[in-house]
Amino acid sequence: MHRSLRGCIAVVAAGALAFGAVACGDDESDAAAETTGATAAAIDYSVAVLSPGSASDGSWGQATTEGVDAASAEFGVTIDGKGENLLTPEEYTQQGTAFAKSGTDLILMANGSVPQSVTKVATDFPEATVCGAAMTIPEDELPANACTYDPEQQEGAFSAGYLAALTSKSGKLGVVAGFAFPALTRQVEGFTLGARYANPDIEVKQVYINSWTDVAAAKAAGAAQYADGVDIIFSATDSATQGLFAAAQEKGEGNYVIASYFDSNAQAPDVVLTSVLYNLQGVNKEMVAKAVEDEIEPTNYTFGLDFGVGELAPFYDLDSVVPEDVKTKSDALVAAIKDGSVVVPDTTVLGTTGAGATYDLAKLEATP
Amino acid sequence: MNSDVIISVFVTGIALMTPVLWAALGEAITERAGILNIGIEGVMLGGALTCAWCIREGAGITTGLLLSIPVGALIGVILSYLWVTRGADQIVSGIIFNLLALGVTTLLFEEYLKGVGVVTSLDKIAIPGLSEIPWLGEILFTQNITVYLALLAAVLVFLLLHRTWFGLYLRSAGEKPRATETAGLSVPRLRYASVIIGSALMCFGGATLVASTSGGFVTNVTAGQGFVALAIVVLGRWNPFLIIGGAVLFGVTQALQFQAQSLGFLSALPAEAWLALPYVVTIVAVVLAKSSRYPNACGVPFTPAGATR
Repeated sequence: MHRSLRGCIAVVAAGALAFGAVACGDDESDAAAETTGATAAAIDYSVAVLSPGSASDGSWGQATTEGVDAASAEFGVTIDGKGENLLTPEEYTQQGTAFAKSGTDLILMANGSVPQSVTKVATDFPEATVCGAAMTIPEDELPANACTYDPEQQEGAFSAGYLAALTSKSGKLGVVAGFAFPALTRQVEGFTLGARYANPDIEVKQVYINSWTDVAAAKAAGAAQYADGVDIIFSATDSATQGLFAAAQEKGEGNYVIASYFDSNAQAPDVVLTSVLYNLQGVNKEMVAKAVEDEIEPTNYTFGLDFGVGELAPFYDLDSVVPEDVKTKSDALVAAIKDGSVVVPDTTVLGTTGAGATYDLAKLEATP
Repeated sequence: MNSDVIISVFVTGIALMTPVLWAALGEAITERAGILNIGIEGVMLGGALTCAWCIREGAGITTGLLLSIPVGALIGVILSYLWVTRGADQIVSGIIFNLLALGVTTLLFEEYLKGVGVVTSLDKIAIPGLSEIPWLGEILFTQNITVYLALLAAVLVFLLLHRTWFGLYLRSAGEKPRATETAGLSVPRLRYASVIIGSALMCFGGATLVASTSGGFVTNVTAGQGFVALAIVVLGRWNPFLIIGGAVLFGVTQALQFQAQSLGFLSALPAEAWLALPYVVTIVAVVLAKSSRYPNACGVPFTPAGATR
C-alpha cells in the first residue's frame, strides 16, 4: 500500500472515531447548563475558579462553578477560566500563576488542601486577589491580597449524622470519603459525632478511597460497608459517589446514601436519602460580590447554617423512609445549632481523624 | 469478621478484577506480537466514554459494550500506524497517547455529556445450580455478564495464542520477526492485527468499568487500572490463565483495602497504608516473578527487508 494512502486511512479512521463519539451525543446538556436569569452589563472585573472537580461532576466542582456563573450573570464579571480536576498544590500554583499573569482580578482556589498555593500566588502577584475555599490560614500569614472562605461543613455533616442515626434500622452507619485532610476529615468526623449525639451506641465505619472520581473504588468501599450491616452511607467525595449509589442499588431496598455538596436525587432517586448542601453556589457568589465591591480583607471568612451551609436537601420519594418524629428532631437540632445551644466543634477539633468517635458528647450542649 | 464480609470482599474483588483482566488479555496478545502498548489506560478511557455515551443517549448498556469493540479496533488502527508503519518509540508515544486520551475524553465528556445521568449498571446473573454453592456460588456465579465473558475470553485468548497457526505467527513476530518475514509472513500485518485485537479487548475492558459501576463517565475513570494491567501481564507471564490469577489478586486486595479500614484491629493501620496495598502486592508479585522474560522483539520497531523508514 502506498505510504500516503496508508496515512489517509489512519486520518480517516481517527476522524471516524471522533465522529462516532460525537454522533452519539447532542447539545441538550449545554442548554441545561446555561445560567438562567438576566445577564448584567459587563463590568471591568474578571474571575477565575480552580477546582478539584469539574463543572459537571454533580458535586463540589459543579456547585462551586455554578456560584461563579451566577455571579457573572448578576454582577457582569468576566469569567477568565475554570481550572478543573486540579489535585496538587503545584497544579493550583501553576494555574493560579497563569491567570494572575494574564491579569485576572480574582482567583478562587476551591480546594481545602492547597493553602500554600493561595499564599504563593497572592505573594507573587499583589495586584490580584486570591482566595482559598474550605481552608483556614492564620491571619498573620495571609498576604494583604489574600483571604480564605470556609463553609463550615462540619455542621451540615453533624446534622446528617444525627438524622442517619435516628433513621438507621441496623445501628450501623458508613462514611466513604475522598482524601484525609482537615477540611474533609471534619465532615467525616462531624457525621460520626452527630450520629453519636443521636445514639451514643451507634457504630460508624469510615473509609477513605483517596480519590474524588474513582467510581469503582467507591462502589467497592460501599459494597463492603453494606455487607457489614451498614444501611446508610454518608458520602464525602465527588463524582465517585456514583459508585456508592450503584452499591446501594445492588444491595437492594433499605440501603441508602447521603450525598454531599449537590442535590444528587436525580442521579439515583431510589437510594439518595438526602444530600448535605453547603450552599457552595451562594458562598462563591458572595465571595465574588465582596471582591467586586472591593471588600475582601486578608481574613478567614466563615459561612455557617445561617447562610444555608449544611442544610439537607428534600427526601423526595424517600420521604416515608424518615419517620416524622425524626424529621422533627432533626429540624430542632438545626435550630439548636443556629441559636448556639448545640455547639459543633470546629475544624481544629474535627479536622483530626478519630475526633468524632472520642469527643465528649456533654460538651456539645452549651451551658447558658 | 462475619461470612458476609468475607464473601463481600471476594465478590467485590472479582468485580474489580474484570476490567483489568480484559485489558491484560489485550495487552498479552499485543506484546506477544512484539508491540509494547503502554497506552492501555488511554484505550480503556475510550471504551469507558463510548459506553457511558451510549447509556446516556438511551442506547443501553449492551449497545455501549458492543460499540466499544469497533471503537477499540479503530484506536488500534491509529496506534498500529504509529508503531508499525511509522516505527514510533512505543514507550514515549504510549505515554503521550495516555495523556492525549485523558484530555480528549475529558473534553468530549465536558462538551457532550455534561452533567451526571441516572446511575445504572449491569444486573447480576445467578447461574442456576452453581450459584447455590455455599460461598463459591455467590463469589463466582452471581456476577454480571462481563465477568463470565472475561473468563471465557481468557480461554479463547489462550487457544488463539497457543492452539492456532495465527497465534503461532503472532508469537513468532514477537520473538524473531526477521525469521517470520523470511518464512514469507508479513510482520507488519501480524502486528497490526495484534494491536487491533488487543485494543478492542482493552476498550471493552474500559466499557465494562462503566457498565459494572455507575453507567456514567467521570474524568480519569480508569484511575490507573491500565498500568495495573500492564504489570499483571508480566506477572502472568503472558499466559491468559496466570493473568486471571494476577487480576484476581489485584481485585481482591483492592476490595480488602476498603474493608480493612473499618475492620477491628486492622483499622489501626493508617488508611493510606491500606490504600497502597493493591499496588504493593502487585509490585511484590512482579518482583517475585523476576524470571519473566519479555518476548524477544517486544518494543522493538521492525523494518521490513528492503523498506526504508
